[in-house]
Amino acid sequence: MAETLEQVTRSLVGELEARFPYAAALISGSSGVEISDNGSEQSASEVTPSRGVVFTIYDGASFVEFASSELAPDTLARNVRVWAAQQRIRPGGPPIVNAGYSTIVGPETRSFHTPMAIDPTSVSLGEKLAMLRDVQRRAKSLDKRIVQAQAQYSDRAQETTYIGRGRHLHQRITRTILGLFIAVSAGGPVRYHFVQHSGTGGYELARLSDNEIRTTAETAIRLLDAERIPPGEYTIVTDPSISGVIAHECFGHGVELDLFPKGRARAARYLNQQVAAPSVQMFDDPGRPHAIGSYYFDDEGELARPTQILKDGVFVRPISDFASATYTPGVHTANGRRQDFSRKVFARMSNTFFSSDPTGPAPAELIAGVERGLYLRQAESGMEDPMGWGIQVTAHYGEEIVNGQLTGRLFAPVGVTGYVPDLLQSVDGVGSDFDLFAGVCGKGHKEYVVTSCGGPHMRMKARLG
Amino acid sequence: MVAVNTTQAPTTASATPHLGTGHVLNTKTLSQALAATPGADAWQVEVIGDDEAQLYIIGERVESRRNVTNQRAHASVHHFHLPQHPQLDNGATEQGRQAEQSGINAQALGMSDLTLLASDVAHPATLAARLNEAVAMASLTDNRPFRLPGAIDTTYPMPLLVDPTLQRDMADALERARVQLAVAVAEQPGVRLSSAELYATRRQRSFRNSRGLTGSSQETEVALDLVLIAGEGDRAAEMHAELRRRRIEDLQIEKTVAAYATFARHAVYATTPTTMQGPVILSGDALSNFFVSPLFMGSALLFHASAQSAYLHLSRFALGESITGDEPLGDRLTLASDALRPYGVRSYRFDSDGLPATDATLIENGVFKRHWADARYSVYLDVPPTGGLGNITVGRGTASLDALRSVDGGPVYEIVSFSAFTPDQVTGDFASEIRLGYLHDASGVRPIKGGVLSGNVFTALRDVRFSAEAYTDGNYYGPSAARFGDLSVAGS
Repeated sequence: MAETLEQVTRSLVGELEARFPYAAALISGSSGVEISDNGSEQSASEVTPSRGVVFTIYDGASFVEFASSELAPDTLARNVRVWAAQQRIRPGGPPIVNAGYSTIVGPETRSFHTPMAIDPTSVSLGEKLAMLRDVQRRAKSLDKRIVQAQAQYSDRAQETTYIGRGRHLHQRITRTILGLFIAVSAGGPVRYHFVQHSGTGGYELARLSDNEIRTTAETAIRLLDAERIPPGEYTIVTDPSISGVIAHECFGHGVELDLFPKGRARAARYLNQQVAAPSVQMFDDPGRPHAIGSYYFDDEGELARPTQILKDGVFVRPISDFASATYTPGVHTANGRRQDFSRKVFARMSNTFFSSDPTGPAPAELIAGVERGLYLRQAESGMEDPMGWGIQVTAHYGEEIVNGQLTGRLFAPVGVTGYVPDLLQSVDGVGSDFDLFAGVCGKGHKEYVVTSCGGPHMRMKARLG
Repeated sequence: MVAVNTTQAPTTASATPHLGTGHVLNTKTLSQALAATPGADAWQVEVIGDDEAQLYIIGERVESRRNVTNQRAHASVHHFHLPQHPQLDNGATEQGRQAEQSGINAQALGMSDLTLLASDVAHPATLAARLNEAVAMASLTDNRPFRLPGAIDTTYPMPLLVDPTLQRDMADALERARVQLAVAVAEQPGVRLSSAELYATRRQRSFRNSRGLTGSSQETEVALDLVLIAGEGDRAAEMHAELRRRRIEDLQIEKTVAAYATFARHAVYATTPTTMQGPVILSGDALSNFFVSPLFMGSALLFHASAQSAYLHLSRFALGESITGDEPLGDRLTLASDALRPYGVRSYRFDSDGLPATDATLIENGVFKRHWADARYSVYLDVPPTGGLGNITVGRGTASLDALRSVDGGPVYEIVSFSAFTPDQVTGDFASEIRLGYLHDASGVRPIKGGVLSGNVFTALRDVRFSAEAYTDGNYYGPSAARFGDLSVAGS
């Protein structure tokens, strides 16, 4: 009987481990569907499978990888052996150390899968299309100014198998997303708004209430009268999506440990120092239930566990991949991630958030404490600057606050910028609420992975434009 | 100063190993399977084979080397049927009548895409099941019918897409580039190499569809991701460059390092700009990002120029009308999608629908002339297809860069780098952090960083002057700078 891909991979890793101080393999791929309906077009396709395998060795000086979409076991074995024969031990690199690996699970296979109320594979494509048709129709019928309502759905099961370091791990992560985009026009320029439900979980996530659809349409229509914000310093109240992107860009990217040996992270000089207001707590947690950035182990076989990055405003711990943990032994977190098999692993975020204060104010109370300012809503994008500690966050819109009341006057879009410590040390209110939002995270302009970010409503001072 | 040992032995393999393949993906085999699939009324398939070498550098050390082989086939299956969702507002019935006249006996079109790997074709039964599933998915969706492109009258164009150096030995080419990079950085005072990533790709594409259209092409691509640091401690500043080219010589490593090293040195003592409304120059990458965003958010101009946006009632452009509304001051924009440019990163022989590459002027002297349209939306809008987007070319102006920097009318900011220029595709609004720029005033030139530049792509183009000097980043070919008359800077 022919050997399976996993059996062959395990044998090959064993051969490599006999020659090199570190060897491992990751088999990965996705399955599922993505469908859309905009009232005039429908699409239904498989998700891009991105199936492949990557073998990694440490040759004493560098990490060397062989990655391939060729998954026929005999051919793969032949190709890996040809590649391996060209590799040799080289001196001069940092030694591989085992310090910090607290989660050795033994040689047996362990499997994990996302718990779901309704497995998307048990729902017919026809039913999913009918659900989207219904969402699109409900949205489009709300107002004549709606020129486009696009409903999109996807379910994606990502399967990964890690073999190495005495571990043989398998996981199946199911991520489900339902989104609605509504574009409006009163004869002139087009404005839009959007809403999304997403997470690790099943078809039970694919629900949008009438109220959510109506609110999305009403906000899009209100944005027709939005103005540009006069540039300057403002007191802002951030909704959880804006709080999350600030966390992600400030002390998410800024504490990715692979940036430390490159000299690119200013945070390297601020370990155990106060960088934010004492009320600020921040985490990255790949094990958070239902969050879209969650997984059971990272792409280097490290079991998921939370990392507290900021404690009482003090930077206490970075996030790392295997290589960067090697450079600074003892700081290994479960954050080694790849875009897919064809890309290198880096230290990456999973679910990154400011934690809420259970005794803190409600959002309305935070707003009530602002004499003149802006309530920023719905994050669009952000960009990191780990060395300069600058930050760029774009909010879809902001609503004016005067004397503690929302005036109804909207500004869109709103750019938030500033020096990270100034921004985080200006925080004077951390709300009691909490929410997470899905996103796609790039390292610079590439290496995209699914993440979430979030937190409570927060109040701080920032430069807007 | 960084001491660099340029004589050390190469650390990359001398050549990409020759690897065997178990089950070969090719358009002929897949076409036969698609033709034999019941309900696959029309189809197209593209096989893409990539061989890639990757080199990751931290300081003077090679951190990682990677070899990647990635072969896959993208197939699209079309299924014609009676509409199942008659409430859809897609004109399927009317289009069905027209389709019948053109030989398609149906009123609605369902489409489904799938990606196949070599392991999928190992067993014919498995492949047949995948294709049957795709037909089943297509049968559930309704769209306006259109016909896939048929065989073209002439052969595909032959733009230059291959670097013989990369074609010969990618790993060796990257190793030479690594050494060249180390030498170039060592020659720059006060600057060190933080990290660099070098990628080289050889790509083979082949295409076939159910109407007899076939094609094949070879391409190479090289990318350099480079971070230079100047200064020390909290005064340190970095500059990040991302370059993509077809040929390794076009990275112009020495020139690139010199330019970004200068930026890094300036960033060390740059100060926050003051808040103001007025003239702002975008130059180099900052200007190319205005037209072609490096992020997935894309470009507002190209979004509104697309046939798809017009079909979905999202485009603000009307053929024959000004793209800015009001009569523009200064220069008028001319913008083209050119997929034929030699060694352009977005040049190709044929696009993913098999349409031949074209050089299409989309905006001429500020007036919208033509949609960029793929096979599907060219039929829906009844406009000529351009194929997928090519390299973006922008017409240059007559003013010199020095003239644009004139402070006769008062101070002017020049921005050379954004953290991320991410205009809203639909509205054209943008608000982007300034990573590095300069203040030109009567007292001279001073570097700035921080603060936000905000405005709107379309209103900004009402008052713009383009430089006579040229610039390219591999897929943008146009002026090196543009002076916008009225933008907003939020600073100190």
